[in-house]
Amino acid sequence: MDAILDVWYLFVRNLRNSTRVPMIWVMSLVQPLIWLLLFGQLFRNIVNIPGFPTENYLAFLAPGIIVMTSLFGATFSGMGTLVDIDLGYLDKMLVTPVNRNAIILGRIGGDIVRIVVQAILIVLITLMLGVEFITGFAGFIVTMAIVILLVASFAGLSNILALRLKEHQLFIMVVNFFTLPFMFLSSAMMPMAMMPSWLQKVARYNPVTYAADGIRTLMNSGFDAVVLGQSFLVLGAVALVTMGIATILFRRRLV
Amino acid sequence: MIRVEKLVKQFNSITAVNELSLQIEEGELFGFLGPNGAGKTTTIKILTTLLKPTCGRAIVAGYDVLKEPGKVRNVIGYVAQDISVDDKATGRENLMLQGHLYRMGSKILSQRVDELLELVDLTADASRLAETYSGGMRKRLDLIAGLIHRPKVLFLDEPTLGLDPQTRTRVWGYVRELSQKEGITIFLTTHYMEEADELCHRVAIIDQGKIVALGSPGELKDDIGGDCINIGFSEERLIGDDTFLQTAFRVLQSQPYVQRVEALSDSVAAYVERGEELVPRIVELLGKRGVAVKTITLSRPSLNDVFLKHTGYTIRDQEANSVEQFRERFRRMGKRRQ
Repeated sequence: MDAILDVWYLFVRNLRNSTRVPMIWVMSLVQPLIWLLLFGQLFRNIVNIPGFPTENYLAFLAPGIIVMTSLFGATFSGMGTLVDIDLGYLDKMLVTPVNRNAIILGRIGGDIVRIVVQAILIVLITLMLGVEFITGFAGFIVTMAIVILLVASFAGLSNILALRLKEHQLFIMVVNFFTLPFMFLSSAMMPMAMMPSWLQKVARYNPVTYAADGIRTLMNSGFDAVVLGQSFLVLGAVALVTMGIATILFRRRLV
Repeated sequence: MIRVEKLVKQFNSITAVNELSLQIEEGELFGFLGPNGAGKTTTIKILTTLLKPTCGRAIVAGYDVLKEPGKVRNVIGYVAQDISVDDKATGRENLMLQGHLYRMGSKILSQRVDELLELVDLTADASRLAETYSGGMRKRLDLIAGLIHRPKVLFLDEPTLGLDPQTRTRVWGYVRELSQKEGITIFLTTHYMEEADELCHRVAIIDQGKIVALGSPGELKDDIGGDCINIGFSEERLIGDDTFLQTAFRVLQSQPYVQRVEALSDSVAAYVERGEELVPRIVELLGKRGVAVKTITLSRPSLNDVFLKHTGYTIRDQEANSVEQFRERFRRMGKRRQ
């Protein structure tokens, strides 16, 4: 019970502090919007290529942008942890009886909420632009569940990097280095069928693919049990592993 | 209240704390005095469960820091060397979160927060974000955050480092008040001699991970030998085969009331009891032997002298070296912020 309360207090802190810097929220909302509109225009003729799965490029792109926003947001979760370590705020929390796991769960929980809000906004804009959400409200809820698992997976990874690398600059370099490949070596921006075969193999091992496929099915075609099953299984497993390792690394720093 | 037995902490090949043992009684205001890098912060981090010792034992308020860290955390407060407040939270929010993490009930907590804000004069600023606070206000906020749960033992790591003189005096006032009125056991580290002298009941001088002297500031200074009379000479003139300085040194050495004499570059220092009564006698005595005295100063030995005696160097010497380290640290911080 204490542990749950601890997570709650730290979760509230993370969210509340982010509202104190309104630019964080403005950027969080403007960025996916710009991407959606800009990339929507840039690549719109791609649908003319034979074999492209949708007629409207925006319908194809929107799930990709949701995945992109989630991924980019999640990979910087470790930054908050680094700042807390640097300012000595982490030590200040650690001398209290606070549950050790709650510190990392509270942080990632706050990040998840912020990114879910962004995802909701992207869906709303897509709807306003005339794209149909095939599976309706139920599908929308499932979409958010996929977003949460995706964010948890990569926020876990981000915290692992933060705890291992310890240096801000190095952390940012490494995060930038791996985020784009994760993004583009997946089905988020390009249908699998249109990739060269070696890339398809790589994309198969990329958890981002499973998030993109799952969300895309829900938005564009319907409840596909196999795709969704894979999506939840893969992302659930990855989230469990990265969050688990992050928690263990975190505890290892401590007594 | 605190018992440390043969505590050792090694970082790779460096021994930060070297078989340190000490005992601190309930209600005591205990000071750990030493230069930067002497092992003060490492010791405090072990006692506050933030670091594991390599070997040895530490008991705080009856609990072993290794076996029952959770119980230790419940009864200790810790205020780190660098101010750590949540800048994006108000003063009150900072304190409330701290109290929640100690599982304090909301009602008791709000009362406690009001009380503490009042104590350090932050009531009027409680609902402003901490990032708008001055350095002194942030320090005060940080200090009371460590008191929120009425700890039995309070650890203060360099509580006045980098503060302006007024804020320093204020912080001293709060610390004294906590010790006297609330009877909290306080363990503080400092590299300021005056701070240890002014505040602490007992002081341990720590150098390279070891305690080299322990006692009340008065005892430590008495141990050096009462007062110090320093005699300077007008010119280096000779009396027979001797210089003034050598003559004075020999004369003083043969007096029964002089405990110790040291020849310095252009003066002689004699350690005596009740120096004020002896000054006229010494001047007269040296005059008879033909030594012309130019200046004479009488001083109580400071903890600086104590430190010098036990370590062979002054804290200031050490600091000259650490200025470089400090610059380096600043440079790194600047790089990070970009």
